[in-house]
Order: sequence, then C-alpha cells, then structure tokens
Amino acid sequence: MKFGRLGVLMLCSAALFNANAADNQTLPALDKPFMAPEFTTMSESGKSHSLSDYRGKLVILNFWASWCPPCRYEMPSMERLWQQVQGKPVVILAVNVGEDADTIFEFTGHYPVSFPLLLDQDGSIIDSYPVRGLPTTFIISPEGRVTHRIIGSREWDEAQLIGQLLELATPSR
Amino acid sequence: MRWTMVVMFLLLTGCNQHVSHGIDEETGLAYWQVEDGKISLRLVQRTPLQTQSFFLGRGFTRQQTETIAHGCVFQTIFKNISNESSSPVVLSYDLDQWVVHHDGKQPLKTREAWQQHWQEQGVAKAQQLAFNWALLPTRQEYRPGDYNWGMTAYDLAPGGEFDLTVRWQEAGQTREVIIHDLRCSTDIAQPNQEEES
Repeated sequence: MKFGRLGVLMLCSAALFNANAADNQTLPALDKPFMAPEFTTMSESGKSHSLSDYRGKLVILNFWASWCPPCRYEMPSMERLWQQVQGKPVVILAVNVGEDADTIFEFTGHYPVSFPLLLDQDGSIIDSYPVRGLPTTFIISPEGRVTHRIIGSREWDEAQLIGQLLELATPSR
Repeated sequence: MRWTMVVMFLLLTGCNQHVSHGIDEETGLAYWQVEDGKISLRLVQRTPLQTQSFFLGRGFTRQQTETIAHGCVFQTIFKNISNESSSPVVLSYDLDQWVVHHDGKQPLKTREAWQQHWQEQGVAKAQQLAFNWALLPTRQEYRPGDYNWGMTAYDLAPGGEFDLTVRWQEAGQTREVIIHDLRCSTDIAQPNQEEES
C-alpha cells in the first residue's frame, strides 16, 4: 500500500468534507432491525474471531479498505473511541474487504489501531451484510440484532455519539 | 390540477442555481457540485494517470487498467446533508436513472457492467472486489449524515465534454438537475484553462 501525494490530498479532502459535516453526527436507526449474520475469520495478527464471541456486548462492525479515503479518515477517531470504552461492554470489529494481512499490517504503520482488524479477502462476510459502499458500519445490539447502519465516516469519539453508543450497550433497552 | 402541474414542474425541472464549478484546492482539478441544503453531490475530475495508478496498486495489469484509465472517470461524493434534528430526509438514487448527454444519450457504466467486463477478461476475484468497491454504488439510500465516496465512469475519451442529468429521490419525490459542460480530465491538469472557462 503506497500513500503518495494524491493519497494525502484525497485524505485532506475527506477531512475537510467530514469537518463540514461534523455538526451532523448521527447513528441512523434501521427501520427493520435484523439478526446479524454470523461469521468467523482471522485477524491481521492471526487470531480467530467469531461474531458470536461478542454476544452480550455492543458490537461496532465496520467494513473498510486501506485505499478508501473516508475509511482511513475515521480510523483515528475509532481508535480514540476504543480507548474511551475500555472496560465497557462495547467492541469494535473492523473488517477489511479484499486485502491481505501484509497490506493491513503496513496500514497499521500509518494508522496504529488496537481493536481487531479482520480479514475478508474473498468478500464473503461483506456479501452477507447489506453494504453498498465503503465505509459502512453496523451497530449490533448485545442480543445480536443489527439496529443501526452508518454509511460514510463519522467522528466516533464525539461525546454525543459515545453517549448514544453506551446507551445502546445497555441490555434489554 | 394546475397547481399540481406547477408543483410537478418544480420538482422535476433542473435546479441549476445550485450547481457550482471550480478548481478543487487539494487536487488542482476541476469539480462540479450540486448542493441545496439536503443533497450535496460533488464530481471531481480524475486524470487517466491517477486512475491507472490506483488500479495498478490494486493488482490489475497495466493492460487491464488501460481499459478504464483511457476513459473518463470522476471522483464522486454523494451526501445527505439534511439536518437530523430540524428537517431530516431520506435520499436515494439509482445510477441507471442518470443520463449522459454526448452525441445522444448514454447510460453510466456501473458496477454491474464493469463486473461483466472483468469476468469476460478473466480478471481475478480480488481485483474484481477492489474495482467493485472503488466505484460509487449503483443504488444507495442515505439518511442524514450518510455519504459515499467513489468513482463514476463514463464511456467517453479523456477531454470529452458532456451534460449529466442527475436524478434522486427525496422523501419519495423525484428530483432532477442537469449539470452542464462536465469535462473529462486529460493526463495533464490544466488549472489555468479551467479557470478561464
């Protein structure tokens, strides 16, 4: 993965675009929540993860790719969110679409994150979710239901958004 | 009846007062933007070299990349900018309803058309995946704050000019705008010429 001048410029554009929309932070709720499709896959670091491992916690399931500017843009705020929810029943799973472990490892050199980065090299996981563009993020309730879908990046460590997430993390709302 | 016709006319006719054109400060390339308080649509030129480099980086061969790089590609951002608290609306579009005006009418070349092309060419699954996700979705629905960022491809040569009819649905109503004189990039960005136009 190369971050050339154009990549930096595109990222700056993404940042500016997102900054303009920073006052429009929302977690759009789905009209029809559905049971989250189960999957098992490896992380970039070689550990196996199944979605069902996280039943009882709020799962923030993010689909991304290293070449996608809005995906890169939201990674640092997602990491800050991850740090702020340590000890809370919230987990972030970021599923990379179509790339290999080496590419993701190189990505983490530029964007250090400590939540699991999962592999979906053949696209089978993303195909099981209603995703049409990257990034797309789903909020999965502690009971395993997909309740919210976010298309495009967000400032994940914004206070109001964290408050919403923590409220959703409370079982049997 | 008369008022119904007037309302239909206002909803379906162009909103060119919302279309702006300029030079993208970051890339030095031309952009066209539609914005009306609910929708924000921005098309930024991509040079053939940019596009070729991007897909070479995704594992395509040089020969494969020439198919798209020697065409016309715009980086395209579609966003729902309506306010969640005061006037939320759901926006959606279908690229099959957008029309390219250049020597008649043409459709956009969407993910589905490209997928068939790459399958016929025997391109590997990983490359097909990367290509698919790099393009703007063919159909999408956006709630407030949602947006996508992806390429749109047009069956025109670098430097080609065209008008683009953009249609979208806003709270169940069809809206339409015509963006005039879009220009496909050539390999050398010519910001001075863009500014003069």
